[in-house]
Amino acid sequence: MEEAIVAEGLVKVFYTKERKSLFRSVKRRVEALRGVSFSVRRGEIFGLLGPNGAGKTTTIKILSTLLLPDAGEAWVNGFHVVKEASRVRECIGVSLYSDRGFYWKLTGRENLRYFAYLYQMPRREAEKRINEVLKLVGLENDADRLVEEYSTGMKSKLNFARALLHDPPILFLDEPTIGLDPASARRVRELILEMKRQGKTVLLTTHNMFEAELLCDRVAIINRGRIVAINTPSELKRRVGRNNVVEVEALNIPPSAAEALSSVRGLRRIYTRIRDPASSMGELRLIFEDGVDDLGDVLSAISRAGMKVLSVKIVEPTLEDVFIELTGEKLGES
Amino acid sequence: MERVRRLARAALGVYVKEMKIWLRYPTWIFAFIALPYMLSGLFNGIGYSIAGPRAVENFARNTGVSNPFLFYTLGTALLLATEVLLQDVAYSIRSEQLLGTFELHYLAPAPTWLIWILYLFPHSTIMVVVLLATTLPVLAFSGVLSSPIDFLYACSVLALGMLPLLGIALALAALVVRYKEPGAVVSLVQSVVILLSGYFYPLTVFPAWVSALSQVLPTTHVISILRSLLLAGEGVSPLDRRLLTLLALAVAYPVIGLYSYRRWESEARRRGELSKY
Amino acid sequence: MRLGGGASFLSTSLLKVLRELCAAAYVGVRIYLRYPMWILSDLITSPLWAVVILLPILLFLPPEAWGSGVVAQNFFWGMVLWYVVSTSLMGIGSAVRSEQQMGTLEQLLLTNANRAVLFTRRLTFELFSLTLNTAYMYVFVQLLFGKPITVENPLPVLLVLAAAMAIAVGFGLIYGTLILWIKNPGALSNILQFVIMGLSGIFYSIRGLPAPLQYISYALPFTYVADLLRHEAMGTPTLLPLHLEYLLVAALAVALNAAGYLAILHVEKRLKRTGKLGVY
Repeated sequence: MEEAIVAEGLVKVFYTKERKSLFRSVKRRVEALRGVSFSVRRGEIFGLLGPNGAGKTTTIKILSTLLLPDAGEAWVNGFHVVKEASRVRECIGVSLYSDRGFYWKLTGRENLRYFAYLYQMPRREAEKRINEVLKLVGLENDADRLVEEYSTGMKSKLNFARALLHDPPILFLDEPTIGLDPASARRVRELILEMKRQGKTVLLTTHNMFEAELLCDRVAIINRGRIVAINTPSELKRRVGRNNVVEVEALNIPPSAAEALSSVRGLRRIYTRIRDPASSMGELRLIFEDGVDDLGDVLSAISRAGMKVLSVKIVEPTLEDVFIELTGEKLGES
Repeated sequence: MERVRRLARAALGVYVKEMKIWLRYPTWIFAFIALPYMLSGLFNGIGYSIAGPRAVENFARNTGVSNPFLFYTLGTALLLATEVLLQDVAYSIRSEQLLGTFELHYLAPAPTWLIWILYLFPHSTIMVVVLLATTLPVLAFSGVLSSPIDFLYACSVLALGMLPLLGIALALAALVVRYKEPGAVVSLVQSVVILLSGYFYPLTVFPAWVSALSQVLPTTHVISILRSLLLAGEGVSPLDRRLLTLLALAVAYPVIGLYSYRRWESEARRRGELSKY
Repeated sequence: MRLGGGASFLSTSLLKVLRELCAAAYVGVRIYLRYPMWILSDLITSPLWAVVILLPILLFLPPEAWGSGVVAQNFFWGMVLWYVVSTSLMGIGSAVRSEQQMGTLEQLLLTNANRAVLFTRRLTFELFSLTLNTAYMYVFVQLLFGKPITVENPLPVLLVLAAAMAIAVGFGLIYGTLILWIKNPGALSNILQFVIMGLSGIFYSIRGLPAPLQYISYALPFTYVADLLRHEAMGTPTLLPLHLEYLLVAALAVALNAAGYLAILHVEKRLKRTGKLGVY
């Protein structure tokens, strides 16, 4: 089978209680997934990119057998995630949290040993593999310290090591670099690329577009429980078009900047990112229909709105531009 | 004045939050209602089973009290109050540590020892309301409540007796801040306090030295006074030796508790223990 | 069978379960030993609580009967049974809660390990603790009463204790499943402990209970364990014919374990449907 993971029309609905007062609560229906379909080829790194609450973790939990779908079907390594859940668990490694899910009063090595036995690995093989994964993630010198003494980065590495413990061909990584410092995040990214070199299939979720661009062979953009696009990062960016994005760095950007520039010819979308709220300094990203006709038109509209231009660049589109183009929302907004 | 107002606001915040959490776990409320009767029933059941028809007569001869059910219901109610007071602060801190919200309390302007003590009030409110609602009918039915003044007097003694426990609770809280895992120490302190308080037996069953040792516990005096008031129908003068001792303990223990809490907390800060869990 | 990138796995399920049991026991003992204060606390608090429970019972007897050998025997075996009930509720049932709080529950359920083994992680330690506490109480009660604790039929007593532990595991699995479902049990463990102790005749025969309560007692599994243990240890008469009671205890041990195991699988599936598995 060419595909390592196949999801077809996954639907998941949660019911939550909204506490209105001490004794009154109202039941609320939350549609986490609304017909998610995609497939991941063997040996590729596939990213689920979307804002918080888009349905990324729900998808990973269904694929890793921790959650049952309300509708739709999925197969991992050729096994059905509901009907053959135990076969699925044998061939996946899952990293769900960066710093939870360990026994604090056990050392890193003892934690791994416990899970190795639960993965039913023979003793000698388990010990060998524990040493291998500890070395791979760079924890060999801290393996015999209690986990309660580990930093967030070390716990994240240990989490990664646990996912690799039984040498699974498929890895699910939920926000693998969240909360990590740049050096630790870089190390985790290197590890993910190393897994690809070893021939493993990786499904990762992220809301970090830089990470998605850097790591993923293909990306699925997910928003409000629906996949809105799937392709390679470069193909996705082609949807926005080269030379269609203008980035303006400016001062005094007003909240109504988008409205003020709406009259600019050929402008399809605009969004702002304020970097310094005190001076309202930040960037305007303008996405045009078909290239930029006249930068002068843009600049005069900007100065009419009272903004002071610091720099203007025609830039390559990013995955965030693609996301906005497809959903009309920013990555952090959903 | 502004400072007091701000502290009151913090107190209200803690009260509302803890009250909401507690009311979402109704088994505790059920426990406060049921446990005094269940434990009393258990003791009485075993007693009747092993002693037969002479059980009550023997009990009266050994304790001077003719109603063993009331004796043990009162004892269990006090035992529950002691357990809640002693363990609540320590377990609340531990729970905050596990949830990762512990350090956030240090960012608030209110002193942390006060916040931890405030954790007791919602639990105590529920406990007092439920215990009163469940034990009052039994007390009234047994005819031991001669007047509302007697009852209020008994409540005041109880409240006074709980103050020194706050001091012990703070000392236990200090241990949790410094050493984390509270269960073992709290369980040890609870069992010693409960053994020496004589909730379920007169302390005269112990050798003299054990009885002498038990005098340092506020709960020993509380149960002794309450038995005089409620079970023996004796009056207790405000100048009673037990009451004066209780008053002294109500001042000394919180001071010692606060001192040890501050000391251990500053040690924990110095060693960087606050962020560990 | 070879899986993933090449890890080999044992093929017989019995060996797998044994391996998982060993791993669980290893983790349970390691973690316990890293809390030395718990060991000290257990050693000190056990006799203290024994006194707190014993004295109220003695108050119903005339002082001259306090040193009676029958009271000492009843009390000793009552304490042993209390440990068994605690093992069930606190040791096994509440272990689920600790996995939820540590955030390890989902990680454990990502493995194919036997669910019953995962939930009885502390069983080995509890068995060790039961043995230690029984020996400790044996010495303590003899010192306290000045009377020897005698066992009429040692081998059957051991057999009943083994059955008691099997029932405790089954009951604990069912209770653990309940905790898995409702998350925070609050004071449920304490309440249940007293209900079981009161109605199962842990310290006394249920014949002394009022008739309506006896019906409930007959429905509780620990009633038969307590009754058989007292019969084999002290020679007291049994509630049902002896062979029937043994048969019933064996059937209960099997049924409760099977029910517990099925309950876990059912609740795991249910929580996977509602998405509440990782909630704590």
